[in-house]
Amino acid sequence: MLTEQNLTACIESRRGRLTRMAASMLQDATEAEDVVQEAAIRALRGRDGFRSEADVCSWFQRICINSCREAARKRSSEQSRLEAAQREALWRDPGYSVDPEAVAMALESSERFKKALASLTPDQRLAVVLHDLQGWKAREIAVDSGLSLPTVKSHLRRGRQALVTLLAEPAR
Amino acid sequence: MTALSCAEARDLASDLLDGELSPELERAVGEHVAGCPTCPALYRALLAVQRELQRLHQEEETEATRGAE
Repeated sequence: MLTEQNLTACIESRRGRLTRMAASMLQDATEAEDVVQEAAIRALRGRDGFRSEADVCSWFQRICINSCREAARKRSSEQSRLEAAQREALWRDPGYSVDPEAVAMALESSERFKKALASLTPDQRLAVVLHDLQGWKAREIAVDSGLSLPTVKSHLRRGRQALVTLLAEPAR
Repeated sequence: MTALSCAEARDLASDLLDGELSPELERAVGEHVAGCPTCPALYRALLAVQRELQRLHQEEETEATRGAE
């Protein structure tokens, strides 16, 4: 049986890392703290349903990741989904290209980079943040998000491509 | 192996940066990029983004280590 003490120890050992992940996902430190806190409450309330053979920290991590996806999806507008689809279409056009120097220059501005990251779809951002910024394996993201491995890899690809497109645009 | 289209080569470029392509596919992407007027610039831009993400990952790791001390 999972005790409250064991679960609390696990939550506290992961809180910092998961809050940083949530902050990158949501681009909002306060909301990130709230999401992780709500996930902690959800885990503590649902600990009776925890299967003892599963790893408790991974279980809490999964709750956090899904809470983050949920929060990011709530913020995502129809307009941003349409823009994401337009960016994807560009990469299928053989005539599409960018100026790599402009991208390199844009990367020197952390504001531009944060803005570009915030413009990705929630699942693209999840894949880029966890894989590229936090060093997770695509397989680990698939397990914790409930997405298939090919889907995670596709979000990662599209997310990186979208970053290039967004950073290649003239600064607004 | 048949020649890759731009869309295929651009998708595979991301896997190439992760070192996840077979030597055969790696060669196919290289051949496409070498003969394409538009893909080399996209590949260079993807590489720049990838390097920045790696740099930020290193920063994140350093911060996490400091936080754990």
